[in-house]
Amino acid sequence: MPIPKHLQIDLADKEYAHAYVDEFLNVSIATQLKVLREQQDLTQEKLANLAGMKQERISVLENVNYSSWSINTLRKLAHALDVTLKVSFESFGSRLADMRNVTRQSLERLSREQELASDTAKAPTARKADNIAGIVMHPSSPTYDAVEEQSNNYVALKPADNLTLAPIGRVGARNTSHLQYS
Amino acid sequence: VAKPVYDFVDTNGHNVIAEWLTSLDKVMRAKMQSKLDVLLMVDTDLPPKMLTDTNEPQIKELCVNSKEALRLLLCKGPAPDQKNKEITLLFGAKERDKRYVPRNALALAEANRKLVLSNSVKHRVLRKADEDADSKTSTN
Repeated sequence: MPIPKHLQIDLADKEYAHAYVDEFLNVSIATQLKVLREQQDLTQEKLANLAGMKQERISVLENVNYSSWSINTLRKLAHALDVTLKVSFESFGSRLADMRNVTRQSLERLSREQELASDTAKAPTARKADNIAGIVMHPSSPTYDAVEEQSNNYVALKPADNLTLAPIGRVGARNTSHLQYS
Repeated sequence: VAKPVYDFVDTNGHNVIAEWLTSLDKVMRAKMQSKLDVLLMVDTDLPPKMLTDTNEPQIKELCVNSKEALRLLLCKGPAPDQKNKEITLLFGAKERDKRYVPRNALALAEANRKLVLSNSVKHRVLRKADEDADSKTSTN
């Protein structure tokens, strides 16, 4: 993922570049924490109970200006929300691409139980994602309904009308941008 | 959906927001620029406590806390019918010992807001989203 041109001059300065993305990191963690809590219909108090913290602490963490994150705190929150914590080193280009994609949907994650329930429901009609890469289905061809759920390398399909799969790319996790509905 | 963000322009035609940003220490400027870029790209209601209230009802602040505490004072709108559609950056300040520097920062921001209300064409300029900046560069 290349660094956008307009940022290349500023980000040529190492100190500037790290300060810039660190600030975004704080915004993204606080935002995702709130999104995940709301996705699970939890109040700050309920999440605090699940995480063994006080409600006031959750309020402090759900603030884009908070910057003293620790992996242990994030682990506790991941456990409370029943999702996993992923910590990885990233290129600047990749981090900046994340910045352009901060939406509620992009930050939402299924909890472990939701994933298991979803996988069980979809299993009978699951097809391997690689198998549908590059397929183009015209309205006159047998067609399929929306890709309703993706998990790992599988997508669930069910027979229906009016779906065209455009001839680009393979289906990646959480990427349905190449699917076009006619 | 992200809202358009405007910089206040004073009676001499100076973009005081851009000038304030330029005057900042490098690290502080990077952090404030990062927050502004989020403001340009993300629905302001999504990141928690991104815009916080001040003692002036119409004025909110965008904060950066590091070596210094930056407080960029802004308002929604300000035209009444645009309050949920756009944001105008009014005045750049700092906070020290729980007080704005300069002390009258809120009053200055409110005065700027009224100037924008009186003539939004003269007193503000659109802050470009980064995609716009990139496409502009690529066509030159």
